[in-house]
Amino acid sequence: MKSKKVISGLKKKGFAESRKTNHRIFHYHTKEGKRSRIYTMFSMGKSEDLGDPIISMMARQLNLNKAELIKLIDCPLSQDDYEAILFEKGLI
Amino acid sequence: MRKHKLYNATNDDQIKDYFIRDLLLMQSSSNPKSIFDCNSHNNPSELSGESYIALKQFTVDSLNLQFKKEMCFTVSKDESGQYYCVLVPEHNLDVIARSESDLVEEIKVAYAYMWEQFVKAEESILTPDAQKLAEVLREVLEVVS
Repeated sequence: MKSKKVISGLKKKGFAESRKTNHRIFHYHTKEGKRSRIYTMFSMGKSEDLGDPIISMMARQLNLNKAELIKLIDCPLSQDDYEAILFEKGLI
Repeated sequence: MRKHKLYNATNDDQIKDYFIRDLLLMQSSSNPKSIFDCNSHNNPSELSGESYIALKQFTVDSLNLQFKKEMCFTVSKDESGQYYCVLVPEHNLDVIARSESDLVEEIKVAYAYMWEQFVKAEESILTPDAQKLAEVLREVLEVVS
């Protein structure tokens, strides 16, 4: 999966971007505006294509399975749906 | 009589030691501890032969942090076998890297980020779960000047 696509997908779903050293970090803020414990981080050195291991790690960090993460990025999984998943898991 | 008592006590202690050691071996082979105090006498990674990263003090972007006790992180390989991983759910830590030295950097950056985002943040801007995480991190980490 292309990193540009992942980044733009996350930003559309309530993730705020910040940078630390050579890392890009995407942190989830709830619709209520609260900062959650959920974030994903990858180094800027990572190639344009994010391989399977990176996607798996991101899915774990976002408390989703891989299929759900792809849906979150591709759009069918809305921010409301994502918050419903996090709420069910007691994470927000 | 006295000797006999002493002999029994030693014997009991040996049995206890074997029992604890076996228990640790069973625990480490089925469910290895992802993080533990490096100075603990019962080092799970030594017993199971797994590799681990020891970390005490570190600096990221001029933020100096240290673990109150030197912590050891158990290192594993991901499913593909290409990446080294450290996963500590209780600290919200999930990092992977191509090399063990890169993995150390990932751990440092993650803790520094979490320190700034959770521990230093006003409680009111955090979700309840993020507040709990801040508490956990505050218990194990501190800033050093």
